Amino acid sequence: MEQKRTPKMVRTWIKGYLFILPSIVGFSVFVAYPLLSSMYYALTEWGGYDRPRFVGFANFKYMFTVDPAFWPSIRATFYFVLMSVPSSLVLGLFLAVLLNRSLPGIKWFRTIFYLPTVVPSIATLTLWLFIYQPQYGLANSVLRALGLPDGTWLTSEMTALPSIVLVGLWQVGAGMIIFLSGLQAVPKDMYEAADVDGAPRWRILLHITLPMITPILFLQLILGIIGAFQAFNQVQVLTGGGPNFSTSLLNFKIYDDAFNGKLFGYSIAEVWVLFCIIMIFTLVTYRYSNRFVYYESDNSR
Amino acid sequence: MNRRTYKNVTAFMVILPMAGALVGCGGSGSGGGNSNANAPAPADSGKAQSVEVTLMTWESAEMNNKIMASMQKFEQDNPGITVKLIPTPLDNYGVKLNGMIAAKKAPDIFMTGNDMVLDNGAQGLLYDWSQQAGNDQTFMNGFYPGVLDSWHIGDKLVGLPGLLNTYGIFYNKKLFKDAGLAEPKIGWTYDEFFADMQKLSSKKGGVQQYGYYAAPDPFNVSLYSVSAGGAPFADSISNPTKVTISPQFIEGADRYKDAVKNGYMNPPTYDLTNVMSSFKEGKVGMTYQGQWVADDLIRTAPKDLEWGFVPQPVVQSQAEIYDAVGWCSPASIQHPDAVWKVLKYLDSSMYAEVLPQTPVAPAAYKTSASAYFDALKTAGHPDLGEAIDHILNSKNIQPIRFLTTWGGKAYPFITATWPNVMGGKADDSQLNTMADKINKVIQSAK
Repeated sequence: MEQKRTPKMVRTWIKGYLFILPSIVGFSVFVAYPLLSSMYYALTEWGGYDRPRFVGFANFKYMFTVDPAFWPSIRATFYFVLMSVPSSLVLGLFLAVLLNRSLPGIKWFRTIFYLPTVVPSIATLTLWLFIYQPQYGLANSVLRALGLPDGTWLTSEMTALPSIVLVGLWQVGAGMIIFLSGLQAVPKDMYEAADVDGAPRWRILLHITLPMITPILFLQLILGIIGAFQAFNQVQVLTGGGPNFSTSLLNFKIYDDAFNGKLFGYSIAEVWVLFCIIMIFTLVTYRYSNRFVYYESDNSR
Repeated sequence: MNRRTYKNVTAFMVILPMAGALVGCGGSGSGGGNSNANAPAPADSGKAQSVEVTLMTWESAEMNNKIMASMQKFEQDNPGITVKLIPTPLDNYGVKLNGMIAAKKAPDIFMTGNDMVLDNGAQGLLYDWSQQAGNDQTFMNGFYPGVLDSWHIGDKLVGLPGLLNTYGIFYNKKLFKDAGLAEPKIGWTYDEFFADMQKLSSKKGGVQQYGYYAAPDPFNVSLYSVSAGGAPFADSISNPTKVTISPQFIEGADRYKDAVKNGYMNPPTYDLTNVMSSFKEGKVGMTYQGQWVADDLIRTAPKDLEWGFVPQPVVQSQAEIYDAVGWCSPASIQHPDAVWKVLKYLDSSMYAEVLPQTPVAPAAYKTSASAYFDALKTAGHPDLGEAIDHILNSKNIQPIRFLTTWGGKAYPFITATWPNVMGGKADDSQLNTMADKINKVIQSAK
């Protein structure tokens, strides 16, 4: 039976709604409206400052069937994610394990490895431009000093993307610190028990340390995937998407199409494609996370 | 909560967002002359009222200071008109400007490139100066012939060119002499050009030294095609209707391709960022650059570096590339007559005063350009002025890029094909495929 609305109840509702009004307004203006309007603009031909013209799914059709830069961009993006995420995780974890010791001056080492993360990425990337400079750059000077042939670095389709991934590894300190905090949270008594049983170090790492930090590993994996799909600065500063689209990551292509190509409607359609890709990757990772993530409070792995 | 408290809270919750909205809407008008940009533009009355004309450039602070020092003389000669500078870094200038135009907060006069003019003009966002220009024929006749063409959209004059950018080859005189080569002169041929780059290239100490550093694109190779009597790559500067790959174009592309293959010039993916530093160190024989590079060379190159500048070579006839930067106004300006006076001063007196101090480019206005050429003579580079004058007087001018809005969809086809062809990874037939796809983009944009 429906409860009778009394004036007191109505006043309570109004009060409640008034209190959540700022949140509703904020969400509507800053989240819902941009989201819905971007859905609309993705279906228009729009130069950014002129009047949008509704074209249905023409942007998506052009993207998948005509645009010569789209599929190379997708390829480069996946290649980048597959190279940068695992290598960052492995290197970050490796450094964290090395630095998770009580040795004299260990804090200095931690600081040194973390330092590149503090430097603004644009400054770091500009420095790497000089390192990769083909004729007089540090990288080729070192190779020549060792009697090796010059590296092509950013100037070849084969080496440009791996070179960008290499730059990213220089800033692995942020992940290292998170791993370090995870490692320090592993209960000491487990290590002591393993020591008493005479377990070798690699077994301790494999059977105690790694399982205990899988939640951290999972967090880093998700953040790494999302971050890698959204990589931009590296490409903008180092290669501008070249040579021949080999480093034109999708996030950079979106920017380039919008602001240099004045294809705002089209680039918003690309944003939705990127959003879907990230969403799928994240959901799949979550779906299968229970196979490798161990939570102490949860006995069922 | 009692009734009174409830009323107070309700009133507060209603007033707060309204106040916020009002605050958000206020505070405009700091941009100067366009605080009421939607209102119809009244004609300037003859009353002695104070008019502020806002001016936006992408120039450096040093150049802006020189411009504004010159504008003080304008203000003295035109009491009642003050000019206020809105300095804006060049980085993302177009994005910022487009946003200002869309928000009707654009300054009364802004520096602009030819592509932005055509784009904004086509959308009706720019002021039409036809009437003022028609009443001021003496001033309008002072420009180089033809430079005003690409500042018209239909019968509307949507801006005035300010500076002209020309492109040619900077060369190192000592390296030419050491290689036993004669210095290139106006009218030199492509045969000489390719032979020179071959002799200037070397691989001393394991470091590849190219004879020529450049990234010739289809617009650049188009100069070869046109000079050899072939069709241009794009058939119009301001509004191309088709692109063509003529046999002469293929011939030019093949010659560059061979130069790359043989190590006479850099490959298409080569990083050219530091070429001018190497040029200053005397390590570069020839490099293709805009004439503005000369200003830096004059001021900062080592005194013992002997360099020259020469226009592009020819096959049969002269064909050149140049483009213009200039000045425009939004359609919503309030005081067109005052703005027109400032525009005239910028193009004539301002450049005549500033360019001798900072010789970056020839002015589109001839008397100001002569001040630029004089400055080059004084700096010991009369050959540079002669070469630029030769380029500007060319009867055949080709576009430097696609200026139209569909360019964003056309360029990826060039990027996807051109480096592969130049690098020898794809054959010449790919150029025709590239042209077909660009032509489809042009057709779909109509």
